[in-house]
Formats: sequence, structure tokens, C-alpha cells
Amino acid sequence: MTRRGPATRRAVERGPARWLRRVGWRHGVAWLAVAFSLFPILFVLSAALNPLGTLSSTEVVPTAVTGDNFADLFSRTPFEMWYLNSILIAGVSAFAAVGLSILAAYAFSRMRFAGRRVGLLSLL
Amino acid sequence: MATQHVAPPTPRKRDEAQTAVQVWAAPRSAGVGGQIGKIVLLGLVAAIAFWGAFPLVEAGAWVALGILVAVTALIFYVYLSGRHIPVKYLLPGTLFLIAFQVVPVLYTVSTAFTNFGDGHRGTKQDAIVAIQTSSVTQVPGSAEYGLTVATTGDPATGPLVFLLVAPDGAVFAGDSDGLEPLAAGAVTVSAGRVTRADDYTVLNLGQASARSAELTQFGVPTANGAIRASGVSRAYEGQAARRYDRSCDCVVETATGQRWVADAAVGSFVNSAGERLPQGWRVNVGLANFTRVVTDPAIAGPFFSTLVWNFAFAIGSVLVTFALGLGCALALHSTRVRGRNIYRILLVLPYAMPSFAMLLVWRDMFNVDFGLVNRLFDLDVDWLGSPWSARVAVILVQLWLGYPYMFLVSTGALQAIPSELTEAAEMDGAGVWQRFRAVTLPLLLVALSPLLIASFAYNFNNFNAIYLTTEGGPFPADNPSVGATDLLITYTYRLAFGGSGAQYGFAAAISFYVFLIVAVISAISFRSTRRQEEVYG
Repeated sequence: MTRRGPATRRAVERGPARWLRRVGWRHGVAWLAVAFSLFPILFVLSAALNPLGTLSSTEVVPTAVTGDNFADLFSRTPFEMWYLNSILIAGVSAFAAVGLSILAAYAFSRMRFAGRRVGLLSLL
Repeated sequence: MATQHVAPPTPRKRDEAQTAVQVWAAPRSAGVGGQIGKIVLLGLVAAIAFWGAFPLVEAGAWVALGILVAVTALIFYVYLSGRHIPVKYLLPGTLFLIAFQVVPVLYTVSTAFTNFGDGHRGTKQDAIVAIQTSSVTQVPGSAEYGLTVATTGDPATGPLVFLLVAPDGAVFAGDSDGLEPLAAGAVTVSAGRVTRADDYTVLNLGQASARSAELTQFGVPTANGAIRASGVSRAYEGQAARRYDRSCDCVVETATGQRWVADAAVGSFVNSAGERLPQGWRVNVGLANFTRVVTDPAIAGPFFSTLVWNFAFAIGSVLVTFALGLGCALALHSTRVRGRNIYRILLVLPYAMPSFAMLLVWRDMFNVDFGLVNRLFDLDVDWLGSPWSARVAVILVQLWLGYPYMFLVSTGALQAIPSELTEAAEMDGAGVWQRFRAVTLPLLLVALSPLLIASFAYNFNNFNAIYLTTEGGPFPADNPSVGATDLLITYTYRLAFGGSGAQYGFAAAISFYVFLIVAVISAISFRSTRRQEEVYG
């Protein structure tokens, strides 16, 4: 009787069982996580397409499809203004924050002055 | 943290640095464009300063004006002198930091030492006027006026003004400061009422009735009492039932002789039975707000249970999101998984959805009658109605919102771990769990613990996650001020702006406690991660 090392034992385990142990479970985890990730998003999409316009009459998979809600967004609300406001606020705050940080970072990294270390630490 | 790793400057480096300073300090021609830009920007600063100065002068806010002048002078000095080069770069950031970080914190702390809130908003004089005006009643023979409701601002929101025509035909404008006679030429009077007046916008019947709640509260103080509206076209001068008496520093009810003596320690008028008048004034109460959190049993119990849940929520959110995110990252950390890029894209989609909207969607999905969760799994759980299921629900929502982020950072950190290390461990006979526990996890934590701490600090004050889903509820029947899922921040918000009357001073004291807790925890954990880095790094 020959001794069976780990290598031979692994060689015996072949086919679907081996695939399941090494790769298959990864697909299983990924499928579950994707389902968890997507079902609220599908629900929102389904609600957007729902002609009744209520969440309580919405299922995960759309039962009836209408584009009315999307049309209403542009015809009944100042959606363009909301959109411009969002861009304006995001843009201005991003530019202001980056601009101020660049100025301060330049001074801290390229120059040596009294209170540099204290200033940097208190800023952090 | 990064500063810890900066080596002390070698002599050579110091030389270089000094040369750099010298290069900078040398007079430079900034170029015509630069000069023009500088002139334009400084002109803009001067313009803003002038624009801000006039209202301050008008309001007599001399301290604020002094600060404005000092800051403007500082800006001009720094940018017009050739010296102090680093300050030129640091000044804008520092000014904004002071204006938007330091000042609000200082204001919060100073508010925490006062009784500022509903009934304690203004000065003692304001309180006396309010008490006298609100106690006005109509007595036989009191003067009647023709009333026209007007405003100096927008008809729907501007400050109210009463345009009054006295029985003898004289015309007055009255606001909360008192009566002021109007010149006959500035108004048009018809049928005993003002129909038009210079400088005032007359409200029509609809606009006036829309503000009827305000009108019934409004009074124009006079020597004997106040002029109050009865309807929208008549007003009467009534007698104050309660009068302030300077000699005893108290409020006396004329009919009964009952008196409420001013108590400067609490900012209220108090009678012999200890009852307070609702209108008080703002006073400094010292540490009372801070000690009240600990000593008042009606506050201390809920405060500590909220604190415990707040920790559980923050730690729980971080742990479950990290566990699931890391699990997914590990599962997909293998080139043998076909289509893993598609998996990754689908997994991080929740991160791309606006969290505000998704929190509201989740709230509706947990609805007991119509919610998707109950319908999908055929359950009948009142998710947001009982304390523990509500807690589970908010953590579940946090998990959905937060794990894609943890998945992203874990994937990145896993890819940065050299595969030689796990392979070496495998050679040494370590099993899957041992390899993960002894090699992968410690190396991951070195990179990720600052992120986990930041996530903890963020979730500790995650106002939206609670307020948009449960609003802090469910509330116990005997205490509607604090609910089962309340975080300290939502509890504070309800104290400050809730329906049962604002208590800004007390809310500010609690915010200060929250600030202390988060600051201490962050400091301790960052210190311990630095030690960890020294071990593994």
C-alpha cells in the first residue's frame, strides 16, 4: 500500500465538486450580493415606470410600463433649474475647496516658515 | 499622521529649502496679468467690505464692524507688502476655516452656557413688552381704530405693520416697537381706513387672512397697554392686565394683585408658588445645561440609553458593512471567476444611488401594510413599529448603503497585498482560515483602519440614516422625546427644533458632549493605528 500524499488526494477530487470548492462558491456569494444590491434599485426603476405612481402598488418587476412620470418631471417641475442648481453648487464648492487647499498645501510643502509644523498639525 | 514619518531635514535639504525661500523672497515681477488680477481681487475685497459695512453701521453693530475693518486691513497688508510670502498662500484658507469651522463651534459652546430657546430668546425688555402686550384685554370705553394691515416687506412674510386711523382722524403706523404718526400727505384715507401709504405695502383681504394667526398675536405697545386687531379692519386700544413694576422688578396682575418677581438666574418671572410666566429672557446659566444631562433623571436615563444605542449603531454599521464588503471582495479576488468585472460593477451600484432618496425608499419598503419587504417574503412584521426590529431595519439599510464602499476599498487593499506572502504561508502548511487570519487580515487592517475609524465617526453622527427612515422612533408611550433608534444627533435636533418648544442652549450642551466623544474616540484609535503601522510597516 502506497502512502497517499496531499497531491494525490487533490487529484482524486475532480469535476464539479472541485469546481464548486475553488470557483463555484465565489459565484454563489457574488449572485447573492448582486441580488441584495439590485433589488431596491429595480424597485425604484419599477416605481418610476409604474403608471399608478405609488410605491405601495409597485412590485420589483414592472407590471405595467409608462413614460408619463419621466415626461411629468420635465413638464410639471422646474427640473432643469434643479439640475443647474446642483451643478452650480457642486462645481463652485469643489473649485473653492480645491483652490483653497492647493494654496495652503503649496505653502506647507514648498516653503519653510515659523509655525509651519504647528500650523500643519492643528489643520489636521 | 504623515508628519510622523517626515525625517528630520538633513543639512543638505535645509540648504535647498533656504534657497527656495531666497528665490521666493527675491523681488519678482509678477507680470502685467498678475498685477491686474491682484488689483481686481483686492478691489473686490474692498467692494465686499463696503457693501457689508453699511448695514452694520445702520444696526450699530460696532464689534462686527471692527472685525470687518480688521480683516480687510489684514488682507490688504498681506497682499500689498512684499514680505510674508507663505501667509499670502495660507490666508484665504485660514479665513474660511475660521469663518466656517471655528466660529460655529465657539457659538455652539457659548450658547450651551445660556438658556436660549423658546420663551428665552430676547432681552428682559423684550420679555416685558411681550408679557404686557399679550395680556391686553378690551375694556369698556377703549379707543377704536380703523385698521389696515400692511408690511414693509413681502406680503406673505414681511414684518407686520398696523396702519391706524384714530377716531379724531389722525393716522399712525404701529409695529412691535410702538406708534409713529404718519404725515397726512403720505397716506390716502377713505371711509375711515388707510388704502395706500408711502413706504408700506398694503395687504389685501386674502393676504391678511392668510396671516390671521400672526395678527391675533400681534400688538402695538402703547403707554397703557397695546393696540390689538379685532378682525382685519378694526383695532382697539386695550388695557394690559399684567404690568411691569420697576420698583419691585416684578410683573403685577392689576385685577388680583398677584406678582411674578424677576429671577435673573433662570431668566423668568416667578411667582411665590414657583410658577413661571411663559415669556422670559436670555441669561447665562453657567454649567446648568451640562449638569442637567447627568442629574435630571428625565434626561439622564434616555441620554445614556441613547448613547449606548448610538455606539451600537456606529460600531454595528461599520462591522456589518466591512464584513459583507470584505466577504464579497475575497470571493471575487480570484482570476478564475469569470465575469468578475460585471459582478463588481453591479455590486457597487448602490453607491451610485442618491442616499437621501434611497433612505426614503427603504423606509417605505419596511412599511407594515404596503412595504415591499413584507410583501416579498410574505411576512407581517411591523418593522419600524417595535424597538428591536426598527434597530435591525436601520442597520440593514446602512448595510445596503455602506457595503459597496467597503467592497471597493477592500478590493483595492487585497490587490496591494503581495501574493508571495500568502503563498509562503501556504507552503508552511497554513490552512485557508489561518492564511486569512494571520496574513491577509492584519495587512488589510493596516491600510483600512483609518477608513474604518472615519466611517465610525461618520456613522456616529449619521443624522440622515435615522431621521429619514424612522425619525428616531418608535417612541415609548411614556416619553415622546426620545425614541428607540434615536442617535444623539437626532435627539439633539428634536430638542433644538422639535415640536415641543426649542431648547437651543440645552441642545448645544449635548452637541458639545457628542463632539467630545467623537474627538476622544478618533484620537485614541488613530494613535493605536499608528502603533499598528509601526509593528507591521
